[in-house]
Amino acid sequence: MKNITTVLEVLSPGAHITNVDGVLRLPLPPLEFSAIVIALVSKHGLRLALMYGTDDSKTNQMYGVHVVLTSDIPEDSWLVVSTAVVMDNPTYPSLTTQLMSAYWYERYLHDMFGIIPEGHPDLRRLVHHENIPEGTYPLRKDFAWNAKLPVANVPFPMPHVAGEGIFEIPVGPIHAGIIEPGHFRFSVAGERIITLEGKLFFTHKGVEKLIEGKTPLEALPFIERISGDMSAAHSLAYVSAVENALDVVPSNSSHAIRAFLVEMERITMHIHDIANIGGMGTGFALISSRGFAIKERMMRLSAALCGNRFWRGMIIPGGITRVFTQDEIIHALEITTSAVADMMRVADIALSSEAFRERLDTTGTLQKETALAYGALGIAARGSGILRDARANNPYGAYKEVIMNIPIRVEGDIMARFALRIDELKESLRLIALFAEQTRDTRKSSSLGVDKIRSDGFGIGIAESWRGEIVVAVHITHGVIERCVVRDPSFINWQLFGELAPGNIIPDFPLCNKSLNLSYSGTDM
Amino acid sequence: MDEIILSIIQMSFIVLSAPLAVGIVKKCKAFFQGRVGASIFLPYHSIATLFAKETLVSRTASYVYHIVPVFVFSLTIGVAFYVPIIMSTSAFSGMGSFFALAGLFMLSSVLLVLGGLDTGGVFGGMASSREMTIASLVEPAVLLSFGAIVLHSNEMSDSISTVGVAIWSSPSLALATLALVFVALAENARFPVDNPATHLELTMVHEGMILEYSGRQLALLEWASAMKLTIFAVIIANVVWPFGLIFAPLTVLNVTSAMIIALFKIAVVMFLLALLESTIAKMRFYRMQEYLSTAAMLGLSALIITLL
Repeated sequence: MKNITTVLEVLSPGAHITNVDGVLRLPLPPLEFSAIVIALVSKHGLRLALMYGTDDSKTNQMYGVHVVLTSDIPEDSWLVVSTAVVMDNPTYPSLTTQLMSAYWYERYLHDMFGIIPEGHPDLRRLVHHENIPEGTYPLRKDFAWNAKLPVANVPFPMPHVAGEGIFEIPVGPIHAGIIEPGHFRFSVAGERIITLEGKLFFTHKGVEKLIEGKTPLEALPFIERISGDMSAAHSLAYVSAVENALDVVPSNSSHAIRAFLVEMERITMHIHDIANIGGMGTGFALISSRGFAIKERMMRLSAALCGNRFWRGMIIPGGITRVFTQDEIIHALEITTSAVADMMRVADIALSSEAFRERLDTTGTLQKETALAYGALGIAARGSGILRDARANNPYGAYKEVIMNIPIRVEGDIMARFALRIDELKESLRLIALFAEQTRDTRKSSSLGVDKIRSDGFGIGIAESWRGEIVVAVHITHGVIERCVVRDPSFINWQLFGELAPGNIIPDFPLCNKSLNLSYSGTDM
Repeated sequence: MDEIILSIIQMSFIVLSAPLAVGIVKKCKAFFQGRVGASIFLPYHSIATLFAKETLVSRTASYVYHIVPVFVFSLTIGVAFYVPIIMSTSAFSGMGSFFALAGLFMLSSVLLVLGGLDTGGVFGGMASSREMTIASLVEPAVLLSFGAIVLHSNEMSDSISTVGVAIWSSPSLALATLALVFVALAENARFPVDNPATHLELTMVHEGMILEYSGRQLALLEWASAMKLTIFAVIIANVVWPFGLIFAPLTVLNVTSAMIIALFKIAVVMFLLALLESTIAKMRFYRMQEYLSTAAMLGLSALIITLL
């Protein structure tokens, strides 16, 4: 592993690299941009963590395309490689031709900004559905957030597999259960899945557009609601980005409470997932009914601590909304310890069932090469033998102070992901006890003072949610958000479905789906 | 004449007690999952509600779709009429061989498959394909296990009678009964073959085939499947515990006590079914042939031992 500085020296010794608040920035013309990003990722082992566009019409009459790269080495800087494309002909050579991890990002750029990555193998619509007219680019500054669009009918071709005995199964977007909307198109031979194409983006809320022009504090409630089950992690990534942009340093105790909340959220949702995979996925009703009852205890704990059931409303730019008393912390630790212990017993019941293990073993296998190519995150990556966890790779806040034991599995199947969640429950339980100690740390108080805050800046924030790594990039001008990108891990991991499902049988697909448990809402800002 | 009256009494008993059986199994499952659960009489209310509701029919449905619920319901009534379930023999036992019993259940499966395919819906087609796979594997096991039981009870006839058959009297019957339990679970779309409570559209079998039905057509299908479950439950209970069947003379006391005992048997079997369904995971679909060939081999062993 090489750190960013070494890589850059090798690559282009004379390049104009600027270091702004610990973020290295490398602006390049479009043609060089693609070649250098491809080289940085495929030859030098950097990871494409985020790719996004900006509308810079106010400053230079161009659209910006930015790629955020990381070496995944602790304490290393971020590298942002940018290019600018002219507004009349916004094109640049596609990265997807070489980098699978840019696949959806470039389709997103094309839909939202009308920027054309030339040579992209599949520039079909991603966010827009058939009803959105051609030439609608919602993230351009000249598009009003409340614009009324005429109803169009632009064809959206889904892939077809032809041949004798091939059957096509369209499922959704409205499902039989109370879940988010998503359309899946299976081509099957008998029960065996040959291809699967998903069509998501039925829950577009326009968050990116809506928070432009708002102050960081005004935008926070929008960020917390991007995906309801990961409110704490989203707000942590966002406030870190804002704090980096405005050079605000929160106190150590607020760092500890933030990490405490995110770990509590992880415990709550891992309990949910273990119950959901174990019970709803395989029909083992005992596991789900017991597991969901245990999860309820965690949600009530959240209601007692945060005033809501979703670990929400505590993390704000500059610090936290309130400090927990020692009694509250002790109470929280007691509830959580007993909840995790009870969930372990439930998981043991599941794992001691032959029929249950048989359903999970070798089902929904994600190959390591595939996971690496798409840049898989979270449980999906760690279940396939890739050590990718922002808490260890890019430690932030209170995680800088602790030594992490990141559990990892190599099998890549549903069993690996199920077992990982159990391992992570234990690890999170250990961490919350450490963070509970740190909340008493009063060495440094928050530096938040209104007069000290800068009004312009660019910052990157990162947080490992229970689903995987969240990256937020925020541009702030005159104290309001100019552009804020939130990259939910689901945006990356949804792309794995087409690779993970084929070869499995249709009745096992719900199990594959539950083993990743991705957010539809988080994918679709 | 008595025997005809008895058949009518038995049929009415099965028709009326079937929703209760479903209610009991749901209540017991709720208990095992730590829930309170709905009243055991809820299925009566559900069926009544469905009869009162509007019946929506797909524009692509043909006459097949319409006759399926009526036929399936009637076939099940027919079985309840002649197979000795709470009576010792039947007036019609001569025409009701075990081949006919297996055939009638197979016929209703085929009709359900046709009903599932008729509208051209995706889930109906998928479920129908699965049902045919399961049905073709179930059929030999049904015949073999019924065959062993029949040979035991009555060497001279091939009609089902559970009188004089007790699992305790012969080891071969234990095997036949076990095969019958396996088969009953598959036939009635229960665990580990199918999940009667699932709403995961991709995993449905029985629920998938009746997905398009609504209103009174759905009521008939739900009721028929409850009756089928009840019939299997009482037959299995009778083999294990052949007690409380109605013998002549036909008196009120005789009939009433037989019914009470049958209800008790139903409750016990439903409790055990709920226990099973709460404590195991559903089998992977591609393991179904192993499960059902086990059932067939058990049935075959029972038959061979009986014939020896």
